[in-house]
Amino acid sequence: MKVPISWLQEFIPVPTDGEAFDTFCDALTMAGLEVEEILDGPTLYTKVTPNRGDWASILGTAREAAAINPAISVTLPKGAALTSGPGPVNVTIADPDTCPRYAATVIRGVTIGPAPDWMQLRLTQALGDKYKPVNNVVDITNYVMLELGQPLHAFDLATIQGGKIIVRRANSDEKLKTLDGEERLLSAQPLCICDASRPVAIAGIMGGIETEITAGTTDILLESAHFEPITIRRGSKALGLASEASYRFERFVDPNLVLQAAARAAALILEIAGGTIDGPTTDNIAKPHVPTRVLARIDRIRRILGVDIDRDEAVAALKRLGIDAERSAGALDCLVPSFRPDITIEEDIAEEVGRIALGYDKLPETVPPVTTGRGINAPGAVFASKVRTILTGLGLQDIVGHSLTSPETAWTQDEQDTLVAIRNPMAPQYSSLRTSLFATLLPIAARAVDSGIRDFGVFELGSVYRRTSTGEYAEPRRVSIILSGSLTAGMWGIKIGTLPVDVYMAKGIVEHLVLGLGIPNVTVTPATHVLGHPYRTAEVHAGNRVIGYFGEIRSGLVLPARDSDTGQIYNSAENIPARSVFIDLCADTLMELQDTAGGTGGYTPLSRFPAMTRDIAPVVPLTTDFALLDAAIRNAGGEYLQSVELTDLYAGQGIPDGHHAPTIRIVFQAVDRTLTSAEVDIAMVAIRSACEGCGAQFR
Amino acid sequence: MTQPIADVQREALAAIAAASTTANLTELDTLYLGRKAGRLTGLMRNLGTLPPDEKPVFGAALNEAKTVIEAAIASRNAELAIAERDAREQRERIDLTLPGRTPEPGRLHPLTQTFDQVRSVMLALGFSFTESNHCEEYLFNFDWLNYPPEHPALDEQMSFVLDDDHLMRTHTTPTQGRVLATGQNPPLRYAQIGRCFRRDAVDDTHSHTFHQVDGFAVDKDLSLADLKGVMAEIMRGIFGPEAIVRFRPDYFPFVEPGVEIAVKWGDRWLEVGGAGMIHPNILRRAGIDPTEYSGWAFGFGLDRMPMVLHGVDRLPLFLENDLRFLRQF
Repeated sequence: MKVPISWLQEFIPVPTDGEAFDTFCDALTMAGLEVEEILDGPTLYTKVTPNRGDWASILGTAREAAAINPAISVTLPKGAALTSGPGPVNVTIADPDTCPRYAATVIRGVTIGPAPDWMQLRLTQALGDKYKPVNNVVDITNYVMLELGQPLHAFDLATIQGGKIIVRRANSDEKLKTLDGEERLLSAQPLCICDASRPVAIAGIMGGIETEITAGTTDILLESAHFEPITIRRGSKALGLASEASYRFERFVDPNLVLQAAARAAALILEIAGGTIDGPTTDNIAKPHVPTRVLARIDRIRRILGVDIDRDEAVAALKRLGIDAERSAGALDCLVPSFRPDITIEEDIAEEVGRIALGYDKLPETVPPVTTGRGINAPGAVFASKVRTILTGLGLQDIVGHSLTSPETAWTQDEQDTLVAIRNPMAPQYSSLRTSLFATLLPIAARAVDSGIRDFGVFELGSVYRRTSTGEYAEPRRVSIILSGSLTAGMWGIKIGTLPVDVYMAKGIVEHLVLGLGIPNVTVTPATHVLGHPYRTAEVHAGNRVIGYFGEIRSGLVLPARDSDTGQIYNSAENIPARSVFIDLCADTLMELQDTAGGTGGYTPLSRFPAMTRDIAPVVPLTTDFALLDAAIRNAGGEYLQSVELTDLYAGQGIPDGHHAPTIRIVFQAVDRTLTSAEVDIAMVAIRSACEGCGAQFR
Repeated sequence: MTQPIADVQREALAAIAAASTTANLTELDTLYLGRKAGRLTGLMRNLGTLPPDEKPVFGAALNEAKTVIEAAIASRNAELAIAERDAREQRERIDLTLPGRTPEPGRLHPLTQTFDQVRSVMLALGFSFTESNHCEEYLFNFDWLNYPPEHPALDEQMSFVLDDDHLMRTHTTPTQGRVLATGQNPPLRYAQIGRCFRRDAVDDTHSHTFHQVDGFAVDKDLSLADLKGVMAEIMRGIFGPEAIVRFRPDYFPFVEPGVEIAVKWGDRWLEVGGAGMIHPNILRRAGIDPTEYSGWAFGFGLDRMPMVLHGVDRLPLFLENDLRFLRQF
């Protein structure tokens, strides 16, 4: 709410000098009515919380300031002397629950013209661009709405048929052309103000164009009514039409303002537009407002706030807030004013006492004992932390990517079938939930390349989203990785590209990860993946469970996505450097299989005796898997075989076509003695023979 | 009789003193003490020609001379070795201003670092952490949290809708209902860190995707002052021991009284989140007697914190994941 200071000063004294003014604003803010900004005028820009519709007025602002500062009292503006009774216009209310009260005042002989400059200035200060000068009468209704918080409406009496007002729901076939010029079919049956034959306004939201005040209007019907909030909110939502009036009615307008606001508007109309009031105001109170009583125990207030509160100060503060608090055996019997619908329970009274009588700046800080035992982290968070520690330890950058993406990134049939779409997206590039972490990782990789970083390893541990055929939402977590360029990049003196990333690095990362998580029996088999080179992609198994994939990113992939700024479709795989590799693991399965006991694997005792090392370099056909050779060596190596390690893989000069020569380092060691060369030689004979059994030859 | 020995020793000692390199000394060692042609060794051969009564004297003199020469060589060698090492090391001077050389290290994302920090502070205060889905039911996002149906408070939470019953959660506050619905008995102290979504245009300080931590406790006699104390502990854990916490009245349907939490960091007040006493309607819904138990709850955003702590002026940078940005943390 924009509150021009000059206007507020008509209600309460407001200091104008810098420091006192700042103190005034701070006091409002600290008591709950936040002064967010000081605008030109000067004008306070305040934040009206949804529970305090009464703050959406100059009066409400003044009342709050007066409650905070006992030295301030509120002066109300002058209103015309209205009498209630059967007036010239008959008012019928069909449903008192939706419209508890409706007052119609007739003023005859007005002269329509522009509102005076001072009023236009204030309306401009308070409404900004939303203010469009109409005429003196309409501007006065808006002025009083801003001043007191009661929305009003003025009809040209001559256009009201049958001299009657009926407050009823629209029939579903009725239409109304509203003041914004739109012809609206009232099929949602909003509450309407009708004359003898038709709707003339949508109650609490907007008037109709046929009954508006025009230059030729002489007699007016001034409406001041109380509408029930949910009725107005539903109508506003159904019509897609909101206004300053509906904003206030949704937040509950003080029912006791009905006559007060009518009187204030009438006084301004008579003063500015002339005319005379014709007869009494027809004030139809279909459902009288019943004030709320709250019994608040002093002891309970103290316990809620956690501080000793002086009862007399509490009572005084409540009185300043308009709450009539009477002592009643250890409690306060509180009669809540009609402008405070938010106060309904003891806790509400505690809040008023806390913020006004005490002030939250005086609230002590106490730390209650922990009665729940030690804090236990979420298992998913413990797991994630472990994965991040391992992967960052391997030189990979942790990524936190967007969940919202475009449906184009569902690259597989399965992902398309389970895609979660946003029903009300803001932009096409954020209109669905990601089905793969590569939907975020590929653009991040491409962005890195664009910025000149070609050598990197990035990983994300995060959720992807699925909607199952039964309509359930699932959020499986994955660990996905992209490696590009070379891991020795940035190490000067080492020729660029000396150690390019490759599928074996991806495999090494997978191996370290499962080792760190304590997952045994991990094997790989050739497989396919949407990103993968068909002959350089592996499926990773732990026992009989598939835990994911790794491989080389295939060249020439087309993986559509939308640009995060422009929303244009582009190929997110296009700028990924050649021979980049990927890893795509199911985090949930890893978490399920991980060794959380952290100690079941035992350990290998360390030998005090020297190890004996032998290297062999068998020549083997390219079609012979290393795993075969490795298994044969381990099988034949005897009881002192300690390790089998590939140290080089050579092909080229001296090696026949279709073959290569792995250099394999074999280590022997006994735990209880130094081995003899003869013992190792015997083992090596068996190993060579086993290699030859796999088709290997020795040069 | 022993004069030749003394002569050789004198000559040797003079030569040793004059040696300028350890290589010289090696030559001198051979020259005087060499097994085959050493000068002293040569005199040893004279031993056989001497009369038996002179042999012990001559032998002793020879041994003594040998010991003296050996000691002189060792001593001079030590001096020269140090000098030569010094000279060699001087030649081995390197340019220490050349850049360091390691592979690029792996780093945690600044948001991950923030989450870890907040989590460790709150674990120490006895909060146990839960996790729940981003695709949330209206039931937990709003209904459980005492949002009146069709209340304007809903307008503040412009949400991404999935279907009639589900939306992208607009806060991590569903933690409350998710835990309370399990029917656990107080005392309770739980928290969740996670991602939230609102239909908010992206600009320098806003994004449709952001992160929050929510915590709540239910116990006998918990008060607003207790909440302030716990918030102060948490904020000091994040912003350092000088941080000051301020409460200001605010409104959230799920708390009464409700407050806005601000932290004084340096000379600025930062609004970090909302908090308050859990609304009795929520406790009642969970089957907890609000006359016997009370609770507090709080939630605050985790994206602004690294912005403030690192002086980052654009919120979207965190989820853009530009490596030039991430490599700075």
